[in-house]
Amino acid sequence: MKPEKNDVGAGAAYLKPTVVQGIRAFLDENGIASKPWDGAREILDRLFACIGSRIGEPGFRERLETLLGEIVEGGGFLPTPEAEILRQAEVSAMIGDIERALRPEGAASGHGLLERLQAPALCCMLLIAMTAGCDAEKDSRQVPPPSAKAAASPFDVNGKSVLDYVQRTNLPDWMKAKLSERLRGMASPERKEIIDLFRTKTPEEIVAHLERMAEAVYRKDGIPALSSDAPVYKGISFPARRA
Amino acid sequence: MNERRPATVIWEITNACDLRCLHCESAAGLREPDELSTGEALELCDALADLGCERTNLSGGEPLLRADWPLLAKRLAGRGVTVHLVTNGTHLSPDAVRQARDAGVVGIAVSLDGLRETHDRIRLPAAAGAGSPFERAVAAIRTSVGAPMKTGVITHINRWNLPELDALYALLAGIGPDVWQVQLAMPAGRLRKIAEAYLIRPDQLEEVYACLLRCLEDGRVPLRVTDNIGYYTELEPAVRGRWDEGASFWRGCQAGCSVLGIESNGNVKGCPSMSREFVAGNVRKETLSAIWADEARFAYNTRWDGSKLTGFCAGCAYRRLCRAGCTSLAFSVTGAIYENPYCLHRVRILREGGKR
Repeated sequence: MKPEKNDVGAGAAYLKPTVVQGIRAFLDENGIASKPWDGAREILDRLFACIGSRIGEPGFRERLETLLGEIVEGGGFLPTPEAEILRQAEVSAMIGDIERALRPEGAASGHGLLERLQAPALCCMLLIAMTAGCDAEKDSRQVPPPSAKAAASPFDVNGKSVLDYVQRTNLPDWMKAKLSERLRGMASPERKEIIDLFRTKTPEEIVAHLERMAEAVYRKDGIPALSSDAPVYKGISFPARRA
Repeated sequence: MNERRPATVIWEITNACDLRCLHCESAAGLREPDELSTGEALELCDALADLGCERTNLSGGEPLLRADWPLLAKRLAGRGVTVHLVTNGTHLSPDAVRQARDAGVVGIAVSLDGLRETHDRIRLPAAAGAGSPFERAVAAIRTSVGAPMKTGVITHINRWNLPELDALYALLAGIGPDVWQVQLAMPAGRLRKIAEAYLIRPDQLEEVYACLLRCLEDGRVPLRVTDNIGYYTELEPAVRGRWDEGASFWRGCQAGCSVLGIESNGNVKGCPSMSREFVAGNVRKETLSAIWADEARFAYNTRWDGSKLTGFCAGCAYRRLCRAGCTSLAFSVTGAIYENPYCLHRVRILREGGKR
């Protein structure tokens, strides 16, 4: 099976970078180093910080326009469509923010993207609040603010803790606290079932089993301990014996 | 057992290569002007042994194009490090195999990326008239198999060779290597610049696995998958290796934890397939020991932050173990290390939800 012409797109000569890859390259060209372990959110934050501080520099605006053009053009020959880890709504919001920054009067006073991303989280919060009936509890205004421990809840939306989003809203403190409490109550319990076969168990059961096994190979500080001679890309590993 | 050390090291001892493979992540070809000298390389051999390295793969480029490769192999083997050679096969003559054996090399792996037409289409000779790289690679495999030496064959799976993997396996079964190791081609290096679609789509992983299982059932050639194929399906134990070998399920990327990559100029990375952003230091500027000891330089694994996972991976039941699969593949595909479309578990779940 040879690749078909429509696999590539007419005239395509390169694999197009994802939006995150494009922004990384832009930051790099502008002397702003990103760590390889920076996530998409950090890359976006860094982009808008860069825009805010350097929009007035000679040549920066032109480079930013080029980046914008590449992002808007988009849709090229990505390695795989699933490689684009920013949702379309996020990309659209970012494009709007960059366009505003490029307007003569558009000072990039902190990017609006985060605020935009709060919208789905806020909707979620309000829905939860409604279903939980917290507004019916008269004394709920006395609920103390969420603790630091609560802020570490695993509820994530777009890579941010939902509880962070709660704290960033303009809701009254009592409502923030109530929402946080409800969210904490929704956390999934640790699963401890013993499993032995991938084929017959649920993913949750399997992962619990694997994690127990992994205790033998992981350090307590989370660093993986030595594995066996597992094959590594660009290397070779030989089985201990023939099957 | 719990000590962090570079048990497995992939060392690209030269960037020189007589092939110009379309998928080469290292974009190998010419020898880099700043490659380590023999003296520096021998010092590095000692440093690796001192750090507790158990096995080193001498790779490239084409490692046999570096004249002092037997010296390096001998030094490593003499210090108790298991040495393997990873070669394109074009220079693996019977003499070279004898040299390798005499130097203490215990295993040789030859790259073979398809049947003749496909392999020769991917692995282009740098010079005209060099003959068929496929013919030379197959001859090299036969030479190594005939020697008292472990022989492996490494295949990059891509959209061109996917339909012929069964035939490739049959070819290997007739030759008899000790292992067939398969890995996915990654969009890095020269591969980012090829004009034709080359990478498989994630949903084609199912097809890959079906083929691998057929090979496993046949059993004539042991099969292994590298760290960029998986993860977490009922097929995992079958393709990841035996439990008693400790590799039967994916436990997350080991780069910078038990794996280390070294480039020909002395750059150190957690894994050789990682891009330049991951360079943690250079052995000319500081000791390998100092580079390795600074865990922060390998923070993508030593200080893994699961809260940064995005998309499907953020909600996956296996996220704490898997950590988005192969770091290099995730980064080269998406631009971040926190989401990886090349996961069979993900493919299946999304397909059940009506998504590709």
